[in-house]
Amino acid sequence: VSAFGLIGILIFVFRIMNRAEGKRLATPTATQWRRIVWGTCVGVWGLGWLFVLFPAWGFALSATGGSVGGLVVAIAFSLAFAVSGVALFSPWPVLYALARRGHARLVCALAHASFAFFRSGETASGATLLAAVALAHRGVSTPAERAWLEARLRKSTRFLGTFAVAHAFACALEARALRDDGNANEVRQWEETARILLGTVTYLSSAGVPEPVRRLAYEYLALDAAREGLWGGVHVPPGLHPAKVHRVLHEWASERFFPTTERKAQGPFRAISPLAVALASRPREPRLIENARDAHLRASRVYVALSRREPVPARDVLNMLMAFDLLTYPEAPDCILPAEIKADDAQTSAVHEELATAIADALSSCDAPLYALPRYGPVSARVHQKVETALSAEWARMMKQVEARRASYERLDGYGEWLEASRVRRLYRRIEYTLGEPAVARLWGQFVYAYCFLGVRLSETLPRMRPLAHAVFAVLAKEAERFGDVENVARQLSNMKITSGVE
Amino acid sequence: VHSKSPYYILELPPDASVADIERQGKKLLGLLEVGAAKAKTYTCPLGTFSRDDTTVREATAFLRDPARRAKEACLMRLLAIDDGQMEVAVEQDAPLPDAFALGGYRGL
Repeated sequence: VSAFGLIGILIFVFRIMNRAEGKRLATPTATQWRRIVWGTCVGVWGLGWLFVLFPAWGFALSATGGSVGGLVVAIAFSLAFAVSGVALFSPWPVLYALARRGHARLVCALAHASFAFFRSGETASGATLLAAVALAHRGVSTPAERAWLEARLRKSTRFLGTFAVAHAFACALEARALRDDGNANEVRQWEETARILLGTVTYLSSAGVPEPVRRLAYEYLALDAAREGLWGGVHVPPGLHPAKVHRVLHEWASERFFPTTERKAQGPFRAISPLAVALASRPREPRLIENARDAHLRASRVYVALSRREPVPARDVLNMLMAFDLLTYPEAPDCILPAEIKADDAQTSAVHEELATAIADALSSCDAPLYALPRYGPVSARVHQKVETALSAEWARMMKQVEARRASYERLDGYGEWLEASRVRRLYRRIEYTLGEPAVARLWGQFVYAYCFLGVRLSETLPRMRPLAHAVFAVLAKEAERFGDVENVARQLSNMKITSGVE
Repeated sequence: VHSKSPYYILELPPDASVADIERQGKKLLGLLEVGAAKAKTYTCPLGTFSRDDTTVREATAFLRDPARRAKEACLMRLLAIDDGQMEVAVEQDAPLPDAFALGGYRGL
């Protein structure tokens, strides 16, 4: 009765406030309802301490009522209050622990009941995320379970960080199912979608994504980087309290690849989990290339792996290019071209061209820092040129799409907006990773013009998506700082301030 | 060299003679005509792919030209000598394919 009374009072106060602001009397939205219900529950919970729990213990411990029955009642009340307190104030640790045990439907139902992330109105997305995490921990998911997640995500009306992370996990589950079916091309696409969505989440403000969800996003990205052999991606950014798995990867990579004085002082890497054991068993010294035959064999292996859309470390790709440069250079002593081709310049050039085309095609699914090659040979120079041409064409296409959006001012659905903002950033980063900083410095003007437009539109046109706009401005602020664009630094910081909230 | 290389389609090594190429082309066309299942796909180091009578005819015609045959054979010898069966030593910066499983995510 008191709960219903409190709800009535809160609705009344809400309506009075609306009237005072000159607004018409609107029915509360689902999020507002959730906040009202949460506030009511907290009120009831607090009053319960005063009028139920304290009196129960007082009665149990008093001289007159001090019986076993009274004590049992007091303990039962205490437990009920503790459980409801956890559900009201800190449901994530309990729900996450349940999710790690693979109870998808149960954890989803409990997340709804416990107001997970109700402050940002993301209870539904939080429940979907926990269900996806449960499926990811449990094992292979069924098509029906993935369809259920997809249906839940389609019904979402709040497009903040939790929504994006839930979508990313759904994509990762889809990728796993496709991998089991042996469909390598589509696997890369789904994995890439998950990666770019989570990459954008890392730029959100604290209001845009709850801390546990941000930690989860970083954990996924670190594991993904380890799977791809991109060990720079396992680094823990300052200010983040990482998940255990992320910390293990970070510590191992720090010890092996970036041994600082501070790292050395912490002592050797400790293998205390299956992941840590697998990493610690890796050899410390790289296996050196012994002769031309070995170089050829390794280069061939890397090419085959790239063609099969398997992850290949950047160092191996660069070694492959240098090996093919050497093995196909007619004047090199290790050249393995047949004599009739070596003697004919046109045939030799045709072989170089075909080789470069095949490698550039294979590199379409795996980025490699081509700018880091110490010198270019007949194959690597052609590969660089082909990859640069392909990336430039993709960039021009992307800019054209953004221009078309500028002309139409059309808005996409929430997921579409997330994908668009993530894809533009991803392409920019891809160009930087492949062709180096000077390449993106040349594109900076176009990037800031196009990306800032996306951010302003997300921030200022209805339905507003300010958390995503904040991520866009955060990317631009960092880039502006890197390129010393003082005017843009100030502008983007101001934009970030405006969009740091949820609404 | 890619999955549509004529040598892969005909399942021949790069040192195959013209007679071998013609014989294999005819054999595959005959098998495809009677609908033999094993002729409809071919396996190469890059994976398993489908083929039909058109691709077999194109591959045979491509390899009839001596200059193109020599270039294609040279590329085959250069690029795809690894059949994927050789043992690969794991280096410390190699990808960790089981990263998610080791991190507790058995479904990813």
